[in-house]
Amino acid sequence: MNYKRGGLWLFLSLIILSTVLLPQAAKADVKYNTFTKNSAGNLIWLQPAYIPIDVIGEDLYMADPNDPSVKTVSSMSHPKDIFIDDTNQMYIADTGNNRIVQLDSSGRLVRFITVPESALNKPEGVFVTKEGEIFIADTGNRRIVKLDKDGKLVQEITKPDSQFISDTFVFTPVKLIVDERGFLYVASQGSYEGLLVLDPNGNLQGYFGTNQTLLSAMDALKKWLYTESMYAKEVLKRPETINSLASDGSGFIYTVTGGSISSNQLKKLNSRGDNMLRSSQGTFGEYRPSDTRGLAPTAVKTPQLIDVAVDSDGNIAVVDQQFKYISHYDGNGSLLYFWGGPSAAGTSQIGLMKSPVALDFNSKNELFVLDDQENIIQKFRMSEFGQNVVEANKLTLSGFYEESEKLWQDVLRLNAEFTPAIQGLAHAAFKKEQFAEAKRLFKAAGDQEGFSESYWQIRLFWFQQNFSWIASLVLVGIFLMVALEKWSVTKRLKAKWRSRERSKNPLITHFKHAFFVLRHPVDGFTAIRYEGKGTYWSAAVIIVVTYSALLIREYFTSFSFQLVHFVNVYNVFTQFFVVWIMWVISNYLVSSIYRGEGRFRDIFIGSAYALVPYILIGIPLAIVSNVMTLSESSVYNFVSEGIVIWIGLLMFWNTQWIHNYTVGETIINIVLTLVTMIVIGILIFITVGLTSDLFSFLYEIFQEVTLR
Amino acid sequence: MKWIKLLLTKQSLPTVIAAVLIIVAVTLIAANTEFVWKSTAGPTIVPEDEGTNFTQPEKNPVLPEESGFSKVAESDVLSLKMDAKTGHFIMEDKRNNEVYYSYPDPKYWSKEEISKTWKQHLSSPIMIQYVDFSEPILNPKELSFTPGVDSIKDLKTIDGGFQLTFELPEAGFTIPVEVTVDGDYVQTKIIREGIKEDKLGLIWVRLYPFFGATHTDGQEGYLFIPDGPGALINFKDNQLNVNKLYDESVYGSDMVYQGLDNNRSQVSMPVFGMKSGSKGFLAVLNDGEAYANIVASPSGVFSKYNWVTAQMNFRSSFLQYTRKNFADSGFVDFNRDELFGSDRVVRYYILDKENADYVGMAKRYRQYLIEEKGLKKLEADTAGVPLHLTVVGGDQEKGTLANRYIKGTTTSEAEQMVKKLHELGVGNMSVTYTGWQEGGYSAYGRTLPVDSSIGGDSGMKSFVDFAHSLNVPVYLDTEYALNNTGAGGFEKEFAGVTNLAGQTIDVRMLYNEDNVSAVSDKFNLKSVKSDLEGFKKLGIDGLVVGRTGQELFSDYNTKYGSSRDEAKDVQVDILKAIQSSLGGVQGIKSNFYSLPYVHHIQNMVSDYSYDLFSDEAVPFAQIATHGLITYSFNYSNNRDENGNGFLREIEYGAVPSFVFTHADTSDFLSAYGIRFYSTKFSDWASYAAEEYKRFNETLGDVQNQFIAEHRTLAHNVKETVYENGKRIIVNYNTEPYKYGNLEVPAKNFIVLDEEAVKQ
Repeated sequence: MNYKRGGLWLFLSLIILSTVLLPQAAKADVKYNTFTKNSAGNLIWLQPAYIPIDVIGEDLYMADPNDPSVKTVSSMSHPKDIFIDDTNQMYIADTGNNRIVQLDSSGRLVRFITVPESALNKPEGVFVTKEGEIFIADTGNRRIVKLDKDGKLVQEITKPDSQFISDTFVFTPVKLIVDERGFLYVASQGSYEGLLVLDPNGNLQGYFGTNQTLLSAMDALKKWLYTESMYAKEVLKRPETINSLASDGSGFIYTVTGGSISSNQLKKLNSRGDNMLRSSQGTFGEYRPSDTRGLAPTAVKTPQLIDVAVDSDGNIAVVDQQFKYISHYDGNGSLLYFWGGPSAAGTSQIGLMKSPVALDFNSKNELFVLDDQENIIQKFRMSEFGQNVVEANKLTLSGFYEESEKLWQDVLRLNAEFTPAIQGLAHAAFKKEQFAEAKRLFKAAGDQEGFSESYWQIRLFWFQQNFSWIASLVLVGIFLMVALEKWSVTKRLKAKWRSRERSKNPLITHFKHAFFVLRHPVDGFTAIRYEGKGTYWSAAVIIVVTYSALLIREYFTSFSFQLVHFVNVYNVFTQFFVVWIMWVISNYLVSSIYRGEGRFRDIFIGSAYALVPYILIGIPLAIVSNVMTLSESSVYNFVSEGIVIWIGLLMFWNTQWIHNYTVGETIINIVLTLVTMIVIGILIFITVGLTSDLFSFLYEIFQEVTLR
Repeated sequence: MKWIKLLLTKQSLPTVIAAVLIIVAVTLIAANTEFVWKSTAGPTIVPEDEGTNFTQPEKNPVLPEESGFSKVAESDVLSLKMDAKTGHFIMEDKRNNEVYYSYPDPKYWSKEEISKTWKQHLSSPIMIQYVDFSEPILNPKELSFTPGVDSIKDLKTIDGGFQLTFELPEAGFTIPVEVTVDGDYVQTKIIREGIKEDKLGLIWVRLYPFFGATHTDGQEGYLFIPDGPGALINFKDNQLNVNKLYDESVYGSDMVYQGLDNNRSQVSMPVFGMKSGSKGFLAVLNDGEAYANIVASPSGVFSKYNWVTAQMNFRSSFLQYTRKNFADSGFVDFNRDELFGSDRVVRYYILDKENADYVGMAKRYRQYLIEEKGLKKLEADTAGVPLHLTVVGGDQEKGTLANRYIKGTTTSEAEQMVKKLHELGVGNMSVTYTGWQEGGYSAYGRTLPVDSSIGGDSGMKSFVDFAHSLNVPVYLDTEYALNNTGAGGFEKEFAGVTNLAGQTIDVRMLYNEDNVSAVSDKFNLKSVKSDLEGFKKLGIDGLVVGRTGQELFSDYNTKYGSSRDEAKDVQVDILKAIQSSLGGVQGIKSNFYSLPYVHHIQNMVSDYSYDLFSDEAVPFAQIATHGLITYSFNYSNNRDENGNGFLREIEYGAVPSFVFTHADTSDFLSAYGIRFYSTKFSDWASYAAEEYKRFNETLGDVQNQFIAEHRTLAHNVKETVYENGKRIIVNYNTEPYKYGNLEVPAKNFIVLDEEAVKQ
């Protein structure tokens, strides 16, 4: 029954997918959607960036050696790699047929390369140099072969002999490139050290582009807790291996990695092995959040980049085997767009993929995608929209911001949400010193740095404009201060203030106690417990004001410091209030069996009063942040972290003095309270999860009874 | 707070803990009973090449002997011969002596290499799929007519042809059919009344499925499928190891019998066809087409024959859910207790030599639409090509506390738009106002009044008056077939589309993924009729209907339900009611049954589904309808590719259409219903006027002209000829194309009128 269930999963997920399709979406004529993401991570529908124009490899024939006029069909079988040389000749590693297929630029068969003198065995990678030498990763034979132009075997490279290679290492080359010097960069299966760099004679020169080992929090915990011998028994954490690589004309090497890694799946490496992708984007390989929904619970839910290609403008395309999207990034690694997707069961439509394994560009920037289930190559040309984008982006990347402006405006007219275009226009405005416009555009594009820099300029200009009167004001102010001090006016004023009529209104005195708590936390909290200071009402008001302060910070903090896209007032409320009230309840439960003297009332009020710093500092900070730029971010962060620390300290004293604990008891109490909070959370979660079925059952009965 | 303390005193603490544990345990058990996994059947993706349980012929299957045929009827053009042993027929075209077989071309029979089971299917006049309901797991199987085992009963000649009954005693099916000739067509009919079944359930019948089927043998030929505007599957030696065929439900999949979604364009025309050398036919499904699938199988998939046929469904599968909350448990079942109604009639129009291509097919279909469906030629419009302008009133998005209204275009802003375009030289316009109801576009089900934020009823009235002063008609966009507001007294338990399991159907139409209820057609009819008076008061020229006329479904609602076949008539009634009261109806991607009542189709699909086996899109739908109705494609400001999209519209004779808002496009970034690439009017006004000018110069004088010819001159160079002799040559290439002594510039087109052609 197991396989049946799997089938059902597929079936159901397809149905679910079908109901998610959106009819009023700007639906393209081509059968796939093209997207980009804005700074908030929202999907933006785009015009197609690539348009399918051809299918290659449907009709391959092999001539009978005895009678060349008789031709038998010889389709590709599980091909794994495609390489296109400078003259647009295509070379395909036809893995299942143990051969390399060479096609001309229009997709007609030129020849099959089989190396009869030393037969290939499941070759998975192919590379051709400018001189026409063919390098094949002959995976099944665990070797690399070098052929001359005519397909004659010239050299065979097997596992290099080196002290840096362990004896257990199995040399299984899958993909390779050759640089100008004739050095080989080889991706070998299971080689966690990275790419093997071999000199023209096949000697190991070192490793290149090694990925980092990622330690999860669990791993760190294990490392901390386990003894050495226990830790040694753990499965070794090793870097993921590189799936594929590509080179461009200017000496960079691009690698893609799959597996469990969640960042730097794509790397652009210079000759020293440094990653040159400078964009803020850390992850590569795009997909729609909804794509993970239909998957079986056990399925991998991260993109698995399988191949990378670079076009003549330095834009990078990667293909993902999991979600079947092709994502395009510019030379800095900023997302341009992504498109494609899986084809539905039972159909094969051009533009949708069954199992894409490799891709490459030709010199006309046409894109070829190899599919190892369909055994075909799909050919795409860049669309009018895509051409505009690439053209404009090229200018922006090389700093010709003003020249790019017209092009970006055209792009934006076609698609008003295209983030790279807004960003490009922002740069152009900045260059033209239209800082207000630049600031607006940077904000629309979600670029905090650009926003902050524009504002810095605006602020500078403002200071320059208004320097004279600001300076006078400051001077006059200082003069007045000094003068007043001298005439002891301030002293008198202070004295007057101290001896003013105090309010007798109980509510006001309760509020004033909040300020007293700030200055004298120990006396303040003790007074709450033993002198009846504070009421439920005053505490509730403080809670409400704190919640407003949270919202005010969300809404009014400068864009430089807060990348807010949508404030969900309900979520903010639940997160804040639920946690707070759980703290209060848990603390009460714990302290009432743990020698605490505080009553529920005291904990409630004390915990509310401890939040006052957030109101007093948080709101002004949000307002002041609007005249700050990122260069003052250390000040901002200091204050903003200061609030948290202050509140933390107040909470601590609150617990200590309301319950009359020692410091040690307080710490234990707080730890227990936190544990109780977690337990309550889990219990609520479980109960809700388990009873929702019951409720839906009851609801259905209710519906039946009332409606039928 | 005392009670908590009381509970937590030392004595009662264990009791409390025990009580809590018991409550949790009880809840667990209660909930757990719900968790039992119902054993489920797998999906019914059945390999077609599966043997049957019944007696197989011992000998190799053979085709009928040509000598066994005797003449039964003839028309002026065709003569019909019939074989009493097998029920097959042969037809001769008297115009050119071409012969059409109801079975695969015997010339290639000896070369056929497929399995015996499939050879048996190929030789049979009828193919059946059935299922055994007594089995726990429903596994549909195919069956065909086996001479010697199955028999032909009640054979008799009737006026114009013959009638017979196929009896398959082992499976227990009795299927009476009728074949007649008249004029240039032969008509096959499955008589629904006479169908009998025994223990087994009938799923579908393909009658004479291999009519005209032939091998690829160097001849020019293709299968024509109604995919988008129409698409061709060229005859070729398809050796690619994909066994995929075209199998699509006429008028789209049924949301009550939701199957696998495959992302193909909906079949809006009940037609298919085939060309092979100088032979060719167009098949039109004349009756019962709502229950048909068009199946096309290129050579190399199921046998080396290229064949295309209409599959007549009598049952359909659906997913029977076993839990309400979760759409992830269920099993596949069929509508066991019923057989879909209606006779199933297919007409094969035989095309003469010079018309044996897709243009000939389209022209024959046009004639059919005029003669049988009562379509009339448009009157000459002196004002030129109409520009179809869709104006977005408003929509909603998620707000801080509740949904927030997004204002798109107020009625006075719309007035400015029309005025501006008029000033820029757009002489002929037609306005569609969408998202005008309260709450805007995504508030489905609401009708009048017009949202007060964009001007209310009075604003709309003055806009209509203003538009009329410029001779611009105004249509309001409506979506009666969906409801998420409860407006119009809609309650989904009473008036929602209901499936066999008694569940109402929700569709996910909106970006916030809220469920929107599908509304029963008969309820719609009632709502539309009660709203018409209000619409009339606004002075508008008609309504635009979305899913009515586009989305066809079976509906098991006890009060308002209708079968898929009947729903077609109900939808037509809705269109008729609007037409007779307001004067005009426009459709969106309409199915062709709504054609006589819809005078313009918006957003018509202009491209094929890019199936690997298909080769290209052809303007079949456009050749058939140009001059009878007008149609527009994707909005010009939301095309995939501006240049190529414009050329395609010129080639296919579409009218220009735009969608505009006065507000910024980015205001609609998070809208629930409407998200377009770019809609801000001020960005597009001058472009629209310019493009309109080119449209008008090119197509202004052929709006009521039929398309007489269409062909490919070279790769990506197409020529369209109108009946008045106007020729349009479109070049999609990036290099210029030499046309005689003229040059068609790259990515551009030239127009030659009759005089120019003569020179």
